Amino acid sequence: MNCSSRTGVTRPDRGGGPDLFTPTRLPAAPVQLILALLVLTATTTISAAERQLTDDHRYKRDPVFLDANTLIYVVQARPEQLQLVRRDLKSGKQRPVHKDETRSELEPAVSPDGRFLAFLQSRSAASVGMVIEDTRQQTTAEIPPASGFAGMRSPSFSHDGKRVLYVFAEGGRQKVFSCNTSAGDRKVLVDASGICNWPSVSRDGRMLLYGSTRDGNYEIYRASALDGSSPQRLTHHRAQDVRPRFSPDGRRVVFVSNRDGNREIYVMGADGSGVTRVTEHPERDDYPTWHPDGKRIVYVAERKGGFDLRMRDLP
Amino acid sequence: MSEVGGYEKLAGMINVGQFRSRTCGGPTRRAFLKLGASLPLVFGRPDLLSAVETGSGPRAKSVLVVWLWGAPSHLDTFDPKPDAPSEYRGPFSTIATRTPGVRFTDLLPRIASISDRFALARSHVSTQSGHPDGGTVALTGFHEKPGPVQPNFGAIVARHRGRDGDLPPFLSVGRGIIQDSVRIVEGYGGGTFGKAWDPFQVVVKNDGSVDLPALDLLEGITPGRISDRRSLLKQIDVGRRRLAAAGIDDWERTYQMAYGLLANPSAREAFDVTRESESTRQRYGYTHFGQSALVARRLIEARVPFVQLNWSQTVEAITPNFDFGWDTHIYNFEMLMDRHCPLLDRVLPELMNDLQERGLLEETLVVVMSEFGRTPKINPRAARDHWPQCYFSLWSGAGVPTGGTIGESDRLGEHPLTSPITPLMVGTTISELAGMTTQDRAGLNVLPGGTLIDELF
Repeated sequence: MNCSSRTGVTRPDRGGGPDLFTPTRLPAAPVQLILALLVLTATTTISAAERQLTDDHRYKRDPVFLDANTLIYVVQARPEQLQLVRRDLKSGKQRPVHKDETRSELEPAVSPDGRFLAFLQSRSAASVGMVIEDTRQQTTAEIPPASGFAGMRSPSFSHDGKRVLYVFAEGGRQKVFSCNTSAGDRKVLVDASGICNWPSVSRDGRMLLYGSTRDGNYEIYRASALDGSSPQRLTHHRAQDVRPRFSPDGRRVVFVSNRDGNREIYVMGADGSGVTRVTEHPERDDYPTWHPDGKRIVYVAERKGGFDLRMRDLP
Repeated sequence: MSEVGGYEKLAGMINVGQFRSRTCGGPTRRAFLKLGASLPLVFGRPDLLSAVETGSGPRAKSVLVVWLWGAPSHLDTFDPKPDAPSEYRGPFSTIATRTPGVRFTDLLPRIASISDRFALARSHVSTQSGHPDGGTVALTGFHEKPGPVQPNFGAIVARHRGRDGDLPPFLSVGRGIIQDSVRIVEGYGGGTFGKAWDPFQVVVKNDGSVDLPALDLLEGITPGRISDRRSLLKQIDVGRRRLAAAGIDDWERTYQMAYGLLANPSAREAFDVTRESESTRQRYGYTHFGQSALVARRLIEARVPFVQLNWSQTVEAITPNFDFGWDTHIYNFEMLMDRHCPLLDRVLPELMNDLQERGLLEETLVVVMSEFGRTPKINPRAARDHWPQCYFSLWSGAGVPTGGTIGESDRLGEHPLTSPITPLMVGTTISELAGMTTQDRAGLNVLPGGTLIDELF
């Protein structure tokens, strides 16, 4: 795959958008007061189409559905630890996925049948391994960190749950790999210049979605899930377009972009058409994941200095 | 307030207590002592720590060093190189700032919007590429070896100023003495001045609650013991032995500082972020760094001469049991995009706005700095390693010229194109703006040979 040159800030901005910064101040007190009143009067419901799922305000990231009623996500349990937690959406109860674990674990992924859980685990200084847990057999497989400072990133499962996609950097190129659920049979799927990240396979197993900096900054690409061939660039904006995920029916893509000044959530067609902004707030909205019904997303909303999960209906 | 040592005067009554309370702010333990006028007779002369004469008023009545421990990538933050080859420039786009001709990466939109309030220095160099050594050089101006380790810039300013009131003159706000996975940074404290000039550690939690480890010295003191002189003296001996075991020879100063801090309600209030409005606390954000910055602002407001606000206690960006510093040998771009830059971009503008709106910025020098930068060339793991040959700092307040740049790096961000700024120059400049003269420095036998960053005067 070719590496096209980046022209930085002088490149024509095909996507438009502001060249300058966003306003500096976060919502002023009166606005926050109004928001607080809205939250109070509606309990955890932000609007008819949105529901707040957590209220502890701790730093969070990486939500993913285990099933329609269960979320797994990452919370900063201690200043030194990112912890995987599991939350029952009906009861609101949550508990650590690995109760006695003291190391940071992040970026969970769940196989379509819910049997396997893949995640990253901090092992030693700047050294992060990938663990694939068979929750049915109560066994684990892993790709240990490579020597020196190294780590895998962004695990996700193939449509049939038989392979785990992940990214790993070598020679300055961060590539997309895949392995089986025993962490064997490792293969390179995408080897492009720059940094690839966030691989996601469509439910029918045909298409691969990922982010890449091959054209200069983070953009979203679609390619054959079989071998990473025929990449098509779906976004064209000098801002960062990151964290793409196929909807369950494969027709839409949710992603995150700072194209409007700060990090917000967008959806578009699987071919890159019809980009629509979903969230709009001076603070950050990030880490979207599809509900299994394909009609809603859950994401991390930074509000009033805290971080909580929200679920929002999509039109 | 009593005239005696600044302690609260209670007409001879000794009212000493301890409590553990409030998880949402303020000291959380051993945080309440009211001492009578007799105590200074026990603990030493009340004027022992009176302020040193500082002559005409300094431009910076207070100094706030925002210490980005672990070394942020200069290319991915304040000194991007969008025209560099792909193996250098990184994945981020750049945005305009309020400083003509200066662009930051798009990770820092809020800071870009206040760039007219600080000067950006882009030509720093250091001689140490390891964290503890680099940290010592950056914070003292000199290498750890051969010793002795020189005093932290904060200790120098604190000693020059002396103590005025019941707050210690040098406070370190964060999670404790800065370190890497192997050892602490020797230059964190008093150095040749002795441990008595170490910073008073202020440990802040995400919710803004504060712990003051030095108050462990007071562990075990109860009203009953205080009222019994023999028991009190016995307890003092315990405290003295604790200090001696910790290598602190200036028992009297340290002990008195702890008592003075706790005895004075207004001094205690400086640590209590629950006195801030909820909207203020929210604007800083309920993160460790956010609430630490708010505590730091309160300490500046209380006219503490020198506050070091630490991003983290440890350098490592992702390592078991370490608290996510800027040392991004792996995941550089992801960590900066996901966590570090959004957090910095929230907190730093709030801190600067807050200082300005309260009229504190005119007399407070704010320096945002680290021990070095990171490799301009992206490493094999698609991240960046240590790079002491070129890095950045931000300077604001105390009348320094803002809205411009100091120095320039080359087209790849590898080396300064202009005269390099050394850590010794940083320390000399901080001390000068804080009111010290060459003679003052010579008198304390510190920062020999240091020159000023002329553009800041």
